[in-house]
Amino acid sequence: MDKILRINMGGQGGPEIKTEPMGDYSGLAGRAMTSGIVSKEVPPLCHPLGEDNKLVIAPGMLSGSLAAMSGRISVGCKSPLTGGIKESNSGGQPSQVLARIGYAAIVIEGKPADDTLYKVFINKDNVEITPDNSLKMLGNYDLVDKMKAAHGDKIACISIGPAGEMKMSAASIAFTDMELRPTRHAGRGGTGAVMGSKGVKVIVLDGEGTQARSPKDPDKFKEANKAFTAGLKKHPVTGEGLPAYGTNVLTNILNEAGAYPTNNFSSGRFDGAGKISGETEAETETARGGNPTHGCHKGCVIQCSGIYNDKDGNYLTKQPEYETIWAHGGNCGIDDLDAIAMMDRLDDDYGLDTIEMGATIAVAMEAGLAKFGDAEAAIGFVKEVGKGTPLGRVLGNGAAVTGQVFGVERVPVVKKQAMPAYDPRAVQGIAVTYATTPMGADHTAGYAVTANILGVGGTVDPLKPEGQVELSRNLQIATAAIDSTGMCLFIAFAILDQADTFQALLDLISGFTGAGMTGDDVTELGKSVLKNERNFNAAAGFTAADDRLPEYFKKEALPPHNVTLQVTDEELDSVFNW
Amino acid sequence: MDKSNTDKIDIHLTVEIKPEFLSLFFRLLANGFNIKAEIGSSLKEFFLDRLGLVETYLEDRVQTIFLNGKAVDNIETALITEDSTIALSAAMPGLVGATFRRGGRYAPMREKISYDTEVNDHRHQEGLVFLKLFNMIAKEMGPEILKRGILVKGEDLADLFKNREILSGCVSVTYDNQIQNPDNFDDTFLQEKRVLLKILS
Repeated sequence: MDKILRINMGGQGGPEIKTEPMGDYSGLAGRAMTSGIVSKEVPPLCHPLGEDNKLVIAPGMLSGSLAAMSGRISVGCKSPLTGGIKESNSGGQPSQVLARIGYAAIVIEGKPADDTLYKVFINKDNVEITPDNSLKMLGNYDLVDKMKAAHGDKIACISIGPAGEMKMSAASIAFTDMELRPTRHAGRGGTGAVMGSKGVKVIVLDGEGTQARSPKDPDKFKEANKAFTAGLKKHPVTGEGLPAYGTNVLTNILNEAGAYPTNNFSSGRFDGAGKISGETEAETETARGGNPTHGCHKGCVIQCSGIYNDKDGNYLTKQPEYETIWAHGGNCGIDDLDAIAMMDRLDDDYGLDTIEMGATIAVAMEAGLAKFGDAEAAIGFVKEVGKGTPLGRVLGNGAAVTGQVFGVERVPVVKKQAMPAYDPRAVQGIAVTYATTPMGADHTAGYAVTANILGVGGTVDPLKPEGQVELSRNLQIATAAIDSTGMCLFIAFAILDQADTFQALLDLISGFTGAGMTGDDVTELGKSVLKNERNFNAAAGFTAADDRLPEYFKKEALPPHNVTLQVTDEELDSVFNW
Repeated sequence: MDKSNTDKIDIHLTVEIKPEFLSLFFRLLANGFNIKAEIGSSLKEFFLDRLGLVETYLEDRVQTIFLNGKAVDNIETALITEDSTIALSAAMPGLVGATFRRGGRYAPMREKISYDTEVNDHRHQEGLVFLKLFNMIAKEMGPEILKRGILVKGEDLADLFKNREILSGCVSVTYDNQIQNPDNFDDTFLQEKRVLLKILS
């Protein structure tokens, strides 16, 4: 992983391919790489769908090695949804394969002369880019089947569906899983639209003949990997809860807490939560011959994903995650698991962010286009997006646009990106992260391990009222660093509770890179990523006024606890005072 | 349950079921059921004395507790009132999941919905509470709780029996001391009734 692949789609004679040494980006990976390149090379005021924007795809620091949980891949660009910098990451197989082939990043730049659609093929010896208009408007599933027929089943694919081709702001980029299905997505921020604007439909990765990346200190790496894996397996969240029920185990808990956004964030409780909970989902999958315990990439120990079959026992989609079940479920008043799974399948096929789509449909329901709870109408809306009808074009550009078009005030977005599945009035610490992360409302931006373990930014006294600001700051720093390693964020739980597992992670990284890694190094890495991202946004015109939640969160009390947002603007503005 | 008739039981129903089918009843535990408690006692007393949990299990496994929808940090000071809703869960994933852990370092992030001792009801008389068991806790505590019996709405039970797979796992069904053939079980009589359900496996 010592080179960068650049594909200039605006070359005079057609796309130009160039391989470069790492140069200024030496040592970077994952989010540090994508945000590093975007902040340095993309003019902040450029049009996100124009020739000056760049799409950067980068495996994590440990991707391609035998390190457990190291299969996350990062995608970066200027976002067509938020207008700011975007980092969106995904699981699946491509991170491992791309890293083994040897590329630390793929940078797609420029703009094609016409609307020709291209396929990129990469293996250890060669990179080819060929025009292929037969791929136009194919869904991700058919597209991958076609690639499989052409290149065999040892490949991994990175692709866009019709939503990306139509340059919709809710368009995702799909990454194939272990079964070569396009089920994992860099969902947030419209990265798929940027790939569509570059005219690239699919990147096929063939890892034939490649080997796992070698650690600098094999013995230390092997030992640390063993301890790290054991730590994940013995922890009740990563070793029991997630494998048994997946992330959707959260539905009952958030609902009980009154923090489960229901009917477009108008209540914190959903009567139908039990019907769509993780427990019910796992029971349904098992009864139908699916599987509630399954990994999204090789080397996954946690196995939080699964296989969701329809009533006849045929594969429908991967196990929809908590955010998806919520977005298309409770947030739209829908308690039908099969209808939600169908929307998940359609989102994956069209290439859409499930959070943005669910939030958008709820806003459309609020506007009166359908009633809350009308599953058939909701499925119809997703199909409108896939077809690109006039209504579909509106919905496919997200909750903010839809709210504006239909005159809805209650639109749960920050920086035009839809909020995930936690009401910020109930869990006010998450409000700080939603408001201030450079990404727009994003629950994963402040997700990882805490200050008190990492020593990031000093220790926090949780009993002080200002604790949530410090926590959000430190979590954002730590998350930016973890996103750069390519490790799945779910490792955070075991690291949080088990000091020996955290030490195993540090040993794993240093065993692989040959360089020692301390809490201070993590702090500096995370801070530098966030600094790059915030500087980009500032140059793109973002101010403190963009680090705010919509006004109604301060005015509308959320049942059942009847709480309003109490976090002050001054507190929000202090988050990045480090 | 209707507060005015908390002690009224319309039907005593006992189901003997093959062990592999027992988990199908856990949905009832997540939806919630009534169980007797000493009003005015602390949550800790309730867990240890009424539910029969041991302290190590309580500390190690029951990481997330809600009382009337509010996250509880101190189970010694949180007091039970008549009709309290109590929910128990294992440790949860995600940052927000972690915020709900009792006494966790992320607790400030959900300060607005944390339980604060606001009731001082020391009547110490018998009453009913509504208990919900989620995820691993339902799996681990469920068999014993179901064996001892839970008070549920007949409609919830009838809804569960719509899944005919459950009946195929039943060895026997006994109500009001009459043993019934599971194959002929008709759940219509459960509607609008209060059922004391015991599950044996």
